[in-house]
This record gives sequence, structure tokens and C-alpha cells, in this order.
Amino acid sequence: MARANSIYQEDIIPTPLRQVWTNFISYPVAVIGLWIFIGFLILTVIAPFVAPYSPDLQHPEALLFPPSWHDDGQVRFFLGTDDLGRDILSNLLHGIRTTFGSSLIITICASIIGVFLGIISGMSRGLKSSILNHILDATLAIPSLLLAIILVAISGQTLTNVMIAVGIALVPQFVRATHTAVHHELSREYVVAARLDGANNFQMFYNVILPNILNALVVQFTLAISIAIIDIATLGFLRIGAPASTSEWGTMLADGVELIFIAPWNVAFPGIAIFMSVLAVNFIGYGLQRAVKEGLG
Amino acid sequence: MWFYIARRINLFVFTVAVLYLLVFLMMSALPGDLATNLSGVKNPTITQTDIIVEQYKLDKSWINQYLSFINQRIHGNFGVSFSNGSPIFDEMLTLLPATIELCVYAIFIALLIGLPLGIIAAVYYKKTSDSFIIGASLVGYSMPVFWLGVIAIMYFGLDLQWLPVAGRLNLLYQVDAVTGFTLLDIYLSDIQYKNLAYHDALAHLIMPTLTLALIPATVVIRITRTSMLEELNANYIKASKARGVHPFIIIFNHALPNAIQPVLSQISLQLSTLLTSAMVTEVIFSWPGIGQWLIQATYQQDYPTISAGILICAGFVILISVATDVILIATTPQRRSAVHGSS
Repeated sequence: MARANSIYQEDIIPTPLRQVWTNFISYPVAVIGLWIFIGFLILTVIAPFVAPYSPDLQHPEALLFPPSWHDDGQVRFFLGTDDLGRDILSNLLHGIRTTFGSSLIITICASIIGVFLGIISGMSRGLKSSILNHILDATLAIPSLLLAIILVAISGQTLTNVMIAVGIALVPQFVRATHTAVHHELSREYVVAARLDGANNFQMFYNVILPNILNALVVQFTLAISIAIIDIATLGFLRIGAPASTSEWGTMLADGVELIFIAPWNVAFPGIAIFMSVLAVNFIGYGLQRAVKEGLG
Repeated sequence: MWFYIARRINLFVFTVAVLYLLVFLMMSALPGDLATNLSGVKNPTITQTDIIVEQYKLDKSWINQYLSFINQRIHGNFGVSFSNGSPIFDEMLTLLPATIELCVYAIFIALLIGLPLGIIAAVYYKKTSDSFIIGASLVGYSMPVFWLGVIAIMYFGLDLQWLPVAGRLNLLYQVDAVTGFTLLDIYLSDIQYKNLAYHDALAHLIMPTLTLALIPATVVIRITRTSMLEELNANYIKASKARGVHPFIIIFNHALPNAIQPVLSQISLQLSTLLTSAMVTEVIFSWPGIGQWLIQATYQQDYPTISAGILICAGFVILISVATDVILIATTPQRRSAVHGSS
């Protein structure tokens, strides 16, 4: 930002994270993404209170009603109903917790485990590092969806198991990203300088390396959220994800596919919901990547 | 150079060994008897049980079991399927070409669309076309594959009736599966209406391939753009600009050959994501490939089939990534020292 021409007037030079933030909010697309994301986040918290109906409530007199702006639609079913007369808006609002909310929780857990393992493998050298690397390569080679499917098959099909499976499938990517970042920094001269100053391993990591890899980790984090949303929805679509009793966007979409010719809104709205949430996260991710790069250059 | 290739092959062997170990551990964790899960024989007779115990060394320690598990799988003995009792390996051989066909065409199209757009975005950095291409690639990247596939089927298949929605070839054309790749099979067969058959096969290919190609294409765009930008800002490019070299020659003869290598190595990393979306695409378009077969196997809790699928998919990903690595090392000497330094 306007740092270059006012550098003498400034009392404090902005920290790297603050600089990234200033760069980030100067990019409109990223800000739009952030607002949509915050909107989804608020909805995740308040969804059950604003949803007009319970997700399972069936209205036998109102089967396959089109959205309210359609000639045959009714405003009490704002986005229409499905073949059992369930309100689509209520279902979407409840599904926000399963698809969007749980993917946030999953990503946070996976990032903690993955970053921790990545730091260990990144800071270690020689045989230990290469053993960790091989295990990592093997797990990375298994398609994440396949890994999640197997884990669900082993542990049984409940929402918690699906979440754990998707989370475990995300961990290798975090390990890889952290490992690469740490390794990259370790070869820099300032790290060698810190080592010569007598820093021990923990100090090296916490004071020297961590501030410099934080940017890469944040970018990886947003990427992982979008992967988690897509994975949960895909598992739901293939009907091996969240069990049928919970409302989930992917499962809703799969239910709608059979009715696509007479009631296309059953497919359109869950799809739009998944698309918008992933798009918002990707906008934020790209904005961050861009902000990090600008901050350096 | 041979030293580096030997290192890569070494890496390949170890990674595959770890992969087998992971799958072996999964098989032991799965519900049911280990002997049944490994061999796929349900309710075996006493003689069958003896053979299975002998084959997988089930009476020895787990290391022996693991080694004989590898031994059996390498010799093509993947057991039999729970659902129909036929050997899994033979089934895989008939299904694999369909998946490879789909993935290869998708990668080809992704490169065909992604490389030029990525180059354009890098050349017009921070101009309108750059933001447009980046915006489009972000939107494309956020599109769930299954939603896109369903919309494509509804619009092009059912509404407009332009394209067939399922399968690989109309049953009217009796083409024997020789190689398993439809287009090659049609070429090898001696049916009368070859042109019509080609036409039909291509019509079946268009929608699944484009659906599958969308996400890799957006990834290629972004990687190409990043690595092109890096090259275009390098000093040697500035030097040739100063010498008055034509911009086209700078972009295509100087920057592109250097920028394309990171793109290739990144694509091989994207392969497991591609396989994931290929599985979903196959289910939507009823494409008779590995992915659809695996999803069916999950519904039926057919553990030998699932484990065989993991081994073949992940093995394929590892093989391709090592192969691209070896090719890149062989063609670009400057990668060799970098490879030595890492890991």
C-alpha cells in the first residue's frame, strides 16, 4: 500500500501479517469472497433458528412446488419443495452445518496434525526425514476420496466417521505443504545465521522459521477447506457420506438427480450452495496468495 | 545422470512397499476374516483354506504375511471378487483402458486449453485479460464435478439431445475389445460403418472428457501463469528484450521451454486429484471404468476389489510421477542438483 512514500512518518513498520492483510483487503475479489464466507459462517451458527421448517417436515399437500418466483410457486416455500414435500430452503440451511461447518472443523483438526507432522519431518534430516517422506509419498498417491471411502468402509457410515475420514485424507497435503515450506526456509542464509548464534531447535523453529512459513500455511489452509467441502459433498453425492437422516448438500443433489426433468430446482439450489461456498473460499485463497506475493515484491 | 535415475527408482520401490504396507494394514483393520478379505473366497472349503493359508503364509508372523501379500499381488493374484467370484485381475484389465482413455484425453484437453490461456495471462499480467482468465479459472476450479456433469447431461443430453449421456459406444456397433481403447478397437475391427462408429465413439467421449478436463485445465492455467511470470521477469529475458528480439520469439523460444518444466512436474502431482474426479465422472456418465467399478464395490462392501483398486490407482500415480521425474531429469540437467539437495 502507501507504505513507500510515508515510511518516515510511520512510527511502526507493519508486521508481515499486517502487510498481507492490507494487501488482501485492497483486492476486491478477495473481499467479496471474505464477505460471502462470513455470511456462510453466520448462517452456520444461526441456521436452525432462521430455517422456516424442520428439515424432515413433510408437506404432503405441497409436493414438488417450484421456487416462489415461479408462477406456481408459493412464498412459504421460498426455494420450492422436493418430492416428499420438504422445504428446500430449510434443508439447505440445515445442510450448511454438515457440509460447510463440519469441513471447517475438519480442516482445523487436520491442519493441526498435519502441520505438526510436517514440522517434524521438515526439521529432521537424513534417514528419519527420508522414511517420513516415503510414507508421505505413498499416502499422497492414494486419491483422497478413495482413502475416505475406505476409512468409512472400515469404521461404518456415520457423520463423525465421514468427518474423520475426510480429515485424515487431508492430513498428507498439510504435511507436504509444511514440509516443503520448512525445507525451503532451512536452506536460507538467515537460518544459518540464527544457528550460528546458538539457537536451539525449538527457538529456530518458533522465532526464525514459523513467521516466514505462516503465509504458506494460511494459503494451504484455505485450499484445504475447499477440498474438504467438495469431498464431503462428493461422498454425499455417491451416497457413502453422511447418513440419509442428516441433511447434506451433496446428498440433496443426488436425491434431486432423479427428478431433474420435472423439478430442476432440486439439483440447482444444492449445487449453487456448494459452488458458492467453494468459490468464496477459493477467492479468499487466491487473494491471500496474491497478497503474500505482493508483500514480498 | 544414472545416479539420479537409480535414486528415483529406489524411491519408487520404497514408496510402493509403503503403499502395500498401508493397504495390508487396512485389510487387517477391515471387518471380517483376514483370509477371506485377502483372497475374496467366501465360505472356503477346507482345501481352499489350506491353499489360502499357504499362499498368504497366514500361520507365520505378520512380516511373512506382508511379504507374501506383496508376492501374490505382484504375480497378478488379486483374489476373487466378493460379488461375483471372478478373478479381480482379469476384471481390472478390461476396465483399466476405459479409465486411462478418459484421463489421457482429459489431460490432453486440459493442456490444450490451459497452456495457451496461462501464457496469455502471464504476458498480459495485471491487464483485463489476465484478471478475466484468472477469474474464470477460479470459477471453474470451484465447480463441483458431479454438479457440472449432471447439468451437462440435462442440457446437452436431454434438452438439446445433441450427445449421448451414458456408455462408451452405441450397441449397434459390434466392436470387439482388443485393446480396450474404443478408438483403437474401431480401427482394428472390420465393421462396415467405421466412420459412423468413430463419430459415435467421439460423441460419447465429448461430455465426460470435458467434464473431467475442467478442473485440471484451471490448475494448468494457474501453474503456467505463475511459472511464466517468473521466467518473464528473469534477467535473460530483459537482456533479449534490450537486444530487440521479437516478443514472440522471447515468449515461445526463450521463456516457454523453461516455464514448461514446473508445469509438467506439477501436473504429475495433480494426478491423484484427477483420478478422484474421474471416479465421480465415471459414475455420472456410466463409463465402464475402474472408478465406477470401485464405487460399486464400496456399495457391496467388496473388500478385495477395493484393495485392488487402491493398489492399482495409487501404484499408477506413483509410477507416473516417478516416470515424469526421470524424464525431466534426463532432459534438464539443472534439475539434477536440485533433486539431490531435496529430501
